[in-house]
Amino acid sequence: MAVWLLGQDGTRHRLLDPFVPTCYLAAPATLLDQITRWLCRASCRIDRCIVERYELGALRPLHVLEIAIHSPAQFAPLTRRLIEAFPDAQFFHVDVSLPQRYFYDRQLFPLASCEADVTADERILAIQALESPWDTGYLLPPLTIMELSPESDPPNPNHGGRGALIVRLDGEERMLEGDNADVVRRLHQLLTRHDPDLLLTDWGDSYLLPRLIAMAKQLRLPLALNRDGDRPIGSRKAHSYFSYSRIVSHAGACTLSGRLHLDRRNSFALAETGLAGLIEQARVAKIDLQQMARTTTGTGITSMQLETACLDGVLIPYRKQEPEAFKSALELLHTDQGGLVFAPIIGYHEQVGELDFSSMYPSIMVRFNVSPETVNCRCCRDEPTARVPEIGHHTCRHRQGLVPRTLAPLLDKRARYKRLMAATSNAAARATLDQRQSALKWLLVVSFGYLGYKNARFGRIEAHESVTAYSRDILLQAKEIAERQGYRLLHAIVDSLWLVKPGAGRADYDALAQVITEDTGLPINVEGIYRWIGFLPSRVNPKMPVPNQFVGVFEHGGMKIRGIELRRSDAPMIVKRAQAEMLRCLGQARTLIELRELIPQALEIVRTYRRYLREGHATVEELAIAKSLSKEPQAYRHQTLSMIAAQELLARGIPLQAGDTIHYIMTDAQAACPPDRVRAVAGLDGAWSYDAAAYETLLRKAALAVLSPLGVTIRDLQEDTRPVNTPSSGELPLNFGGLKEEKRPRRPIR
Amino acid sequence: MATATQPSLDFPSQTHQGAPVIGTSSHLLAALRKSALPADPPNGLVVLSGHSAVYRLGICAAVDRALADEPVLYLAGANVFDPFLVGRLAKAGRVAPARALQQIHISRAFTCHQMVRLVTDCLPSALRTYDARVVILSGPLETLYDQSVPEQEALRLFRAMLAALHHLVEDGVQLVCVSPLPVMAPASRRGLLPALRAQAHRVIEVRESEDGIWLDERSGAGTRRWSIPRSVWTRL
Amino acid sequence: MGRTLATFTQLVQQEIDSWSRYRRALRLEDQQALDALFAAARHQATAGAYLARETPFEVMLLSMLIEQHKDVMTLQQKVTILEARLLDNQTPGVAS
Repeated sequence: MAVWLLGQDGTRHRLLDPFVPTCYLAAPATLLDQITRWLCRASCRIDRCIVERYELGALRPLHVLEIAIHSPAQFAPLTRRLIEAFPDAQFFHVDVSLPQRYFYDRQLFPLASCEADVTADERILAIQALESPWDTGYLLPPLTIMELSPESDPPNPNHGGRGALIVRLDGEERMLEGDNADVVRRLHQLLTRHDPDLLLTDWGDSYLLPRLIAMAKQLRLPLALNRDGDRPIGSRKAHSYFSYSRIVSHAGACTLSGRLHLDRRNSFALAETGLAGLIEQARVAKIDLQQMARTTTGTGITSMQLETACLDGVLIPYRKQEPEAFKSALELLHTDQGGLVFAPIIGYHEQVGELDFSSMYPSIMVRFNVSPETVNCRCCRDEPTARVPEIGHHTCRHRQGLVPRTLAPLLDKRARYKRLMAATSNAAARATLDQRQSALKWLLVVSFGYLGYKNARFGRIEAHESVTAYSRDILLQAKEIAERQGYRLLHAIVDSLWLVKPGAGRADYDALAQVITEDTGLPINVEGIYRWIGFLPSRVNPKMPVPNQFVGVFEHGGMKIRGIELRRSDAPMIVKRAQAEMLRCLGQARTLIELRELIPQALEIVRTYRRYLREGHATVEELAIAKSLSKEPQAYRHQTLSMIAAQELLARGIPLQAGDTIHYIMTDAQAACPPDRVRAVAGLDGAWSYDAAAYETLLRKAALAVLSPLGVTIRDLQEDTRPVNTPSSGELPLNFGGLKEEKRPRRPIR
Repeated sequence: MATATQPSLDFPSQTHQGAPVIGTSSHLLAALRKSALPADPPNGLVVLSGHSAVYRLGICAAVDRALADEPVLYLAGANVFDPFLVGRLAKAGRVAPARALQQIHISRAFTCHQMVRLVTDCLPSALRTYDARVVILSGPLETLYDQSVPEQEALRLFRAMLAALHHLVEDGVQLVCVSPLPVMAPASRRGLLPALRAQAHRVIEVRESEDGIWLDERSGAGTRRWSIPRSVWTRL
Repeated sequence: MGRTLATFTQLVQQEIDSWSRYRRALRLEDQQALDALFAAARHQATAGAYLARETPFEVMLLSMLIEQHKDVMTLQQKVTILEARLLDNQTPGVAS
């Protein structure tokens, strides 16, 4: 195994650690003989012996053949051929990536500070970490970072556009221009001179690196992207495939040896949690940074479970085969439910408190010991405290399960980060801590999905069902406690509640959270108190509430916005900006009375934007609509706008696949001839115009989404001169106690 | 009654116990039992394939046995089951819905490895546990169409499943496979359904037409057909 | 793993679909009343799902009744307030 270390003196070392990965298989004796003979013919050294190992949750051990392969490079091809040759044998430990196995085995993790005994020929005799992945106060090695990006910032350079290459190093920016040979030569120079540890790029995976490599190859010029010159650059082409009735698409990847390449435009972790968050995930999940950046968060949580299994000596099955245990249709009716959602009471409300259970699902798994092998264990069948509410399952009271054991330190570390955040006054330190805790949050969030995911190594439907059953019971407990204390439940989604009680302030909500935490055993916190919050109705049916669609202003003045254009990736910038400006205006209101007084100002903002659109000032960036293709562009049956734009790109020879995001502008949305309706942004040249009316419609919808519960109608938006007729006070002429009036048409009784 | 005016119908006006027909849905169950899915004596492997209505027919077949207080095993390979249909049919049959639901035992498979494990290993012991002799396999091939499973692997698993089904039939188990047309299947795996049908003792094709659902069975003796009028089908 | 069973909201929609012939033969104002009833059934989808009864239509009926009852209560409160006002206005000798 090649290991790269950064010495205290700043030198970089490529070391070799003789790592011998193992795998296991179980088969009947006759088959085992055949397998043994087959293994004898292998080209590298292989040790074999029969050992006893446990499958997860098994009462009796399994006699398995342990196969130790002394050449790690041979591990993957050899096991693949073995599986093909003997498909009827049961395989274990065969498909866990070797760097992960190495990290588990040596108790190391990416960017760990460590100590190694090394021979003169750079072989590792012993290596150990000097810190734990659970430390919160760790320092990062001083990495040299080189940034590469295309000169212009196109929405997706693969769909068109060209320009120079920007290189950033030590805060200095260089622009590489000229012909291809110049660019390749200058970049090679910079790479060899500065020898960066990390290449941080925009569009490196799908655009920059593949193009640079191709250019260098064509011109026969050297380009030292890899630090380890002996190894090829890892590349994976973009692809998508059909799996269980849905399209799965993977973007391409370019990974380096001896140097890290991270593409900001091809990394969920980087985009969501920044470099600090990505590093945090890689450290706890023990997945190489380049891998962690490009894989799903689920792979991270799976890796943590695999490590727990490896340390316990539990076999990791090659393919999960255990189906659901039989249950009666009546049981299915009760167990096949998700978390509870109480649709919101439509309209604007004052002094509302939001209470959130922190990491509810993982906390349930830890607190109630929910894990594939603990649900419906044999030992606790008659134990009343082991019973899962509502459904017939129970969980083990004697042994802690693999999933809770994996999640407990994660929950604990996140809580420590949050405490550190609360204690620090340094903004930069706070931001880093926030990225790290948010990285852990993502790992926790997906941990639940993986309990029920069909391909999860340690998933089981009954465990998944138990978690949701607990969550329903706990949310109802919280509702009952709040209602007993006189609060009204306005809205609830699985682990969050929006409550209101006349006169209740911060201290009251904190006290309520305290009681709920004590009674349910799960920590719940006050997310904030809203001066006011508006739960917005469905666009299709204004009487129909929509969960998680609201705008609210907290006591400290910050806003929380969900579900409207501003938060949607497919709304054009100009619509988002208009909505944001409108909300900034409304956000000044401290009460509902003040809110209503600000409506005319908000309407004026919308009209200003409308004039701007009508007068033709809007730019491409303001108008571009981003849509992700949900299926192969050839497969679309209807002439949707995004399909027309996709066809335009295809016609220009730009390859597209399901999952790609395309950008277009509405040019004449109602045109009889479909190609006239939109234009792809990537293909825009000098002559284009936009469909002001179509954008106006989007603008109007975005304004009404927020304003219609306040009584604003389309007519109010259209009339430029007449002031809007709104009630002069925030209260209705009559106050009918507990029943909010906002959901009914306003018709005051005179 | 809508069924009485259709000349091509093989619907009885009385159930086989001689009781009067209670309603159209009960009528349907009785007809399915009498013609397409007789369980006594067992018919071996019966395959209903074609229109996606096969899933509902599979549930109807399960309910018919459950209403007679007989345990049924239901293997869901396409994540399809409708307890509310069971509830309505039970009510129409004057049986408490909960009682019918308790006679149907379900296991869901989400991968082909699970599906095959279910048929080969779990089914024999479940038949003993629940003292059942009727098994509904709902969408047994759907998981085998997954492209992330290599072709050879899928074919190997399919053969293992067929072998296990064969053993079950030899043991006197009544197997009913309901399988829609392989529209989502990769071209190279469209042959799995014909291969399954080739192993069946009875093959019934299910089609939809304007007037309802048609069931056709071709055999040496000619073609037998039944129709379920739309008015009955949509009210199930 | 997706859910296997229809959600309560989907069940309401199925129920609405099954009444489409009935709805078609209603007068417009009665159609609107019917729509409002089914909207009320959907309003209690959480409770309906949590109950998980095998015959959901009776759950829908009860949900409709809850909304009806709330409407009646609102009207009753309004009447009480209006009556009180009316009584105040009729009481002689009270200075306003």
